[in-house]
Amino acid sequence: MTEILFKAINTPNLTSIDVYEQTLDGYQSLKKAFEKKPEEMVELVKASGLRGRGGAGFPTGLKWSFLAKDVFPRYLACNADESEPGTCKDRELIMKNPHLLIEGMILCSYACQIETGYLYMRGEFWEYEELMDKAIDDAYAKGYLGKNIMGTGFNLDLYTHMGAGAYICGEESALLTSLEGYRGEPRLKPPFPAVEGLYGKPTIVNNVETLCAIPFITRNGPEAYSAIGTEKSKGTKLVSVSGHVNKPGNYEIPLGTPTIDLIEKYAGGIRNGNKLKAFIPGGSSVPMLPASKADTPYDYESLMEAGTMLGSGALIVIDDTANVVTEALGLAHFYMHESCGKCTPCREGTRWMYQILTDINNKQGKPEQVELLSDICDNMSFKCFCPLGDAAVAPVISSIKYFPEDYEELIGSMKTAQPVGTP
Amino acid sequence: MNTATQTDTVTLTIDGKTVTVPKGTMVVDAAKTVDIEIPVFCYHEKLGPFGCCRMCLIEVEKMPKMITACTLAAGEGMVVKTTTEKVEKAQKGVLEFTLLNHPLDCPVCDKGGECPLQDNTFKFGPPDTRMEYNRFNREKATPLSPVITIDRERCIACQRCTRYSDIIEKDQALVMRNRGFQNRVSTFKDQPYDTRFSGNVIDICPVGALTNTDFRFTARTWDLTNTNTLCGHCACNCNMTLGTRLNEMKRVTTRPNDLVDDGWICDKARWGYDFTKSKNRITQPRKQGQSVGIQEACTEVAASLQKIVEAHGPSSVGFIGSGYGLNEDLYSYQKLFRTNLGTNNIDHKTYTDTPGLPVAHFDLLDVETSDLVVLIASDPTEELPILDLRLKKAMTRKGVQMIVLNDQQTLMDKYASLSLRYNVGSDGVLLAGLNTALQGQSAESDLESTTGVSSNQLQAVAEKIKSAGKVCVIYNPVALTGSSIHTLKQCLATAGGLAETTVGAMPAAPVTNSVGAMDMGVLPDVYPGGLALTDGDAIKAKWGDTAPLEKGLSALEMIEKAKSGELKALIVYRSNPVVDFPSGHEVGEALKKLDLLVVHDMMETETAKLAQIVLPSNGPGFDEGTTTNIGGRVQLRTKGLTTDNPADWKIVSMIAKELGQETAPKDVHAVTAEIAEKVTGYQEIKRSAIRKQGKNREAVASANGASASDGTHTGSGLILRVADVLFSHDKILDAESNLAHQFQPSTVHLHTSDAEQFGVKEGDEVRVTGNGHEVKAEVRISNRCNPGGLVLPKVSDEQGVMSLAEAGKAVSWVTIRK
Amino acid sequence: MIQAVIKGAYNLLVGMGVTFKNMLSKPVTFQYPEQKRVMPERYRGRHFLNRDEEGLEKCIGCSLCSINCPVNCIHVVSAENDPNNPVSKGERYAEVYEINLLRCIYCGYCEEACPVDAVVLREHYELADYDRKTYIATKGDLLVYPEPNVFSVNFLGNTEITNKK
Repeated sequence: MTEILFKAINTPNLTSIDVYEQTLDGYQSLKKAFEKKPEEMVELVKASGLRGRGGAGFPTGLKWSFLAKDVFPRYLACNADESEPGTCKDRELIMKNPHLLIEGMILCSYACQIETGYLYMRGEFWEYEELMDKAIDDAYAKGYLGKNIMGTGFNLDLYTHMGAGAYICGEESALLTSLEGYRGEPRLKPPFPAVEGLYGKPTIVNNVETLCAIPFITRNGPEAYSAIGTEKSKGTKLVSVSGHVNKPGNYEIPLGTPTIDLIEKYAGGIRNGNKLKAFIPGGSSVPMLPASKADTPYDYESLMEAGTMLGSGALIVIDDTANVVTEALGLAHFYMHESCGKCTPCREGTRWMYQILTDINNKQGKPEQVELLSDICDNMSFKCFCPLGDAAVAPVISSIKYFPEDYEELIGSMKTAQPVGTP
Repeated sequence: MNTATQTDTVTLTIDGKTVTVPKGTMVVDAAKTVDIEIPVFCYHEKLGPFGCCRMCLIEVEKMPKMITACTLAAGEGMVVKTTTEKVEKAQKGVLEFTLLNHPLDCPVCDKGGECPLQDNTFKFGPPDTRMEYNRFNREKATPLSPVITIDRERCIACQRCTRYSDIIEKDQALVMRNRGFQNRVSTFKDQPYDTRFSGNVIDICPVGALTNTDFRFTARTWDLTNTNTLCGHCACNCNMTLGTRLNEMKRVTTRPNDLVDDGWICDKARWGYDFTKSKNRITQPRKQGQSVGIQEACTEVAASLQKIVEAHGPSSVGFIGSGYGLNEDLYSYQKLFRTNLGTNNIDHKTYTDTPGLPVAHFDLLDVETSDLVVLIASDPTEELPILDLRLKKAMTRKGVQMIVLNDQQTLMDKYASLSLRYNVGSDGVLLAGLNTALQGQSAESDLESTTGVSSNQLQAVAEKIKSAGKVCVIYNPVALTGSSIHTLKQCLATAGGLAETTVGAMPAAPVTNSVGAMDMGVLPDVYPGGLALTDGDAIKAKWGDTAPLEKGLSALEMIEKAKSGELKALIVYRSNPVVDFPSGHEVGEALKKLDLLVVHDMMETETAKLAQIVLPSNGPGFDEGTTTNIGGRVQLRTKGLTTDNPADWKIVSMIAKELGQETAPKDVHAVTAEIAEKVTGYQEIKRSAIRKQGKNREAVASANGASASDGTHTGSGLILRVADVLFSHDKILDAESNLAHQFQPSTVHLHTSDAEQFGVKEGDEVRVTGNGHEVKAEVRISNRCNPGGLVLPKVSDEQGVMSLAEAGKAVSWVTIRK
Repeated sequence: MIQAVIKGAYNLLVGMGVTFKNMLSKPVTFQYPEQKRVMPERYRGRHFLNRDEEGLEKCIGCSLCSINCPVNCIHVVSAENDPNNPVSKGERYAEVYEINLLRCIYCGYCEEACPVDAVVLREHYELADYDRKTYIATKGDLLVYPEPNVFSVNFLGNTEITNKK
């Protein structure tokens, strides 16, 4: 079992900088990195084939090389606004191994010639803010942060920033808007953050998991990293398995592991010996797949081919006791609640979908409402300002596609129940 | 930086039509140029791309998904399609979403009839909704401020208003709160949204969410008669539309003219037109308090004037006008006095100023295209609000630098790259210092002790001016003391002589048509068009052999002579000397000594109460003619309301007729034509030329006075600085005005050290005394001016601030008593 | 000759037959004003303004009738409702509502345009009067729905409205 991110993660007191240095050769990668030029570091990451672990899967090295040339200052914003339902990998990294993240942020900043970095944590991570602040203070004390780091003349300041608990702030431009002190709303792209980001300056926005992989790549070279995984999806991935499994939790797998293995081997199989009905491979924002596709290898390309996405790597498992309409309703409520309200289709559409799904789930639905739902989804998808609208559509449209019988079941047994209030 | 012209263009195809537009143009604007309509809600050309309403989705070849036309800059060779099936479905879908929770209020909604949502639904929308649930209900009409009502049910969250508040006003007073379908336009802690420019959000709201409380439910938009006219408050002369019904003012809306107002008007323009229906209007001519016919009144005025001129000579009559009059009216008056009565006793102001500039007269648009703006003694926020917005735009979005030289703190300071505060009353010395600095010499040694500004700082200002490519100087002649205006003009002349710098200036006096009044020669020593008295031949050629050539009395001198009994008759036009003149409390006594006082005004004033004959003036809304704004732009003010009273120029011509004038102009355009003929600079001003956007008048001859040093000021106490406020409680904005909530209490702004010296604390009720008069005020220790001065905003007529100022003195000394 | 007489009598009988037939049939004319024609339900006579079940005016003063009127005979001035003492149900009501019945062409467009079914044209067709001024129907006239007029013949032989106040 290859462990890169979760290596010795359960070591007691790993949050202390001394323990981190001893058990994991902590901060040793900095020396190696500082021997290289920043541009070489970018090439190194490019060569490793590391892709963004936040959801979109954009090659990290390529993103770094897109930074506007010769525009300074530049900023790093580490996206720890982990709000995707089902995802809890970043929390574990921050909670158990904060120094790995700091090391990753230092390496990224060095490669991109950044002198100020922000760690944007979601509001619900308030418990870990103190922990993270202490880790940063320790790193300052040891001279890994601050002015003239390890005598190289490279300066870096890191700050933690707490969000106020909004899903949309996980979207990179909304994160930057929120970081600037505005209301968290996505911005117009282009210009992309790499050109005009925080305070109008070039900014790198990377996920926690992405940055945590950098120390390994620096220490062991890109080849060691790209040896893991498939041809196009390199390295390991943290997968948060949740739902109807016996052992839900975070597992580190090499990319390309069959999904069924993840469920059966890592997560201990379906609860109560039930049968697998459906699974959502990459967090709530991606379409669900039926059990028949459970042998799809867990990597970017294979999942894309199967009509879904790897997303943030949150495998939600649904067994055959559940009705997918109920699942879709839960997610529709989430998106209705989290829509920022900036663009019309998302603001109005999420609520409308929720209203219809509530009716159907309460056995109040009408057959034509399923068709209406698909049309609402069609009117929303790729017409919203940011991907949140597309994400809101994914679970609904895929549930209609793969499990029409679940809808029929609820609509067919229409009965006169008490009227349902609208929110 | 911004002087570089954008010559680059791109060519693209929209629905098969080829369009060539400047680089950076949004596709939605490019489509407009070939009459292709792409529907929008959130996009507003002044606010920039935002892309939240999703109404303008279009298809572009080689782009995988649909894209919003308002956020897409036109690119070379782009093939845009706006009428495909996919686009139509998207438009229907988005409109269905937009209308999901929008109430069917149209019959009661004030926006009905001019509502983009109605129009777009009609043109692009679905025939019916598939929504079967109750709409999301919110509270209906809620006051956002005393003058704006918000109906949040109707809001479609396009964020035009919040972006306006952020981008244009720079206040961020209006924000979105909550998220998702529950988001709402609101202010911090639901405080009233009462900025100076709040009303513009009503115009840009694409639905009836933000409505004008005053106009609410009083008329449907199609019932209004809309007149394109000008605002008659400050000297920006913003373009506006006056909506009237049954000859009553209903509402005022913006009429975008990028050359003047950039599409915005201030709240005083929007809600400050209640005076058109005020009880305090002078509606009938009066003689000794009795209503008389207009002909009778004019005959009486003419007969009395003639009698006095025959008995005491032409210099015993005088005219005090004001910048509130139109060019035509002021021209007619000066003509009456000069040609019919033979006197130069004509004036319109109490400060020193001369017409014309030694450098180019810059227009408002030049503020944006300059590299450097030098703002001298001017407080645009309170005096010329639209100039304030223009400056903010230039500073924050056009990369223009600004230097502020002022004796008081203003809201413009925070946009300035350099802000210098000189001592109150030391502007003459400061400008002389700046002049020497511009000439490359070192300033006098006592500069810093007199002005509070070091010579290094002035040197830095001079350097900035020298290094900038285009400099726009904006100065307020009213706030300059003594004869410093002459020093300023010398400064301008020096700067104008700089080799690599283009310098222009803008005289930013706050009164509506003060530039026009100067041009029309309502001055004791200058004929229209800046024709100085020394140029006798030119005057005789234009104005006949009998035209008087000796210098007349200035307004303050006329009051002085009235007191001494040498002046026998006075016509006061649209001016209120009892309140607005220095030593105002003494003016009343002087005016009582006159044999004849004629007041020709719009509102009942303190001065009108003393008059033997009162003539009605129609004023903005009712009158028609031209005005000249601070940028030298002459525009046409048309009338939206009618009255039985003749126009002001007509009254003047009736008096002139009685005095023997044989020819009389047929209508107001005949007067405008006469101005074009007689006044230098106005040759091209024809009704047809100025109808739409106005036209810059050509340079008026600069009649610069000699720079006389006012010397050092000695006195005891503090030097008074009277500051203008926009919403001042005067005859125009009376207690029943919609803007009464904006009136401020009488306050006096002190420096910390002066407050200590006088032993007063913040919030103390004090009496400011000086010139035998006192004014009650509350103390604010705001360090608004340097030690040794105090700022007293003129918040109302009753306050009597001007009585503290000594007539004829450069500075006035006051003290503070508890 | 007898034949001619018989033929003449026959023709006379045929001619008189028509006459007698019509004598027995129901007359098409009415003895107006003693008798009144009952107008069809959708007849467009005089205008009225409706009230709702709670007795409030239905008219919300939207002016759509006035803008739709092809002869511009409707004049509406609206005002905001006092929430504590509303005149109509909406936020707005018609402060002034006047119809010039002389100018009106009784086309019924106002009724069509009304979004709240406030203005209706009813079966009242007896609109004759001696004074032109009475033809400006104000809100007071329009809001009452009188019984169709009852006429009687007075002792001079002239008809007059007997139920007029």
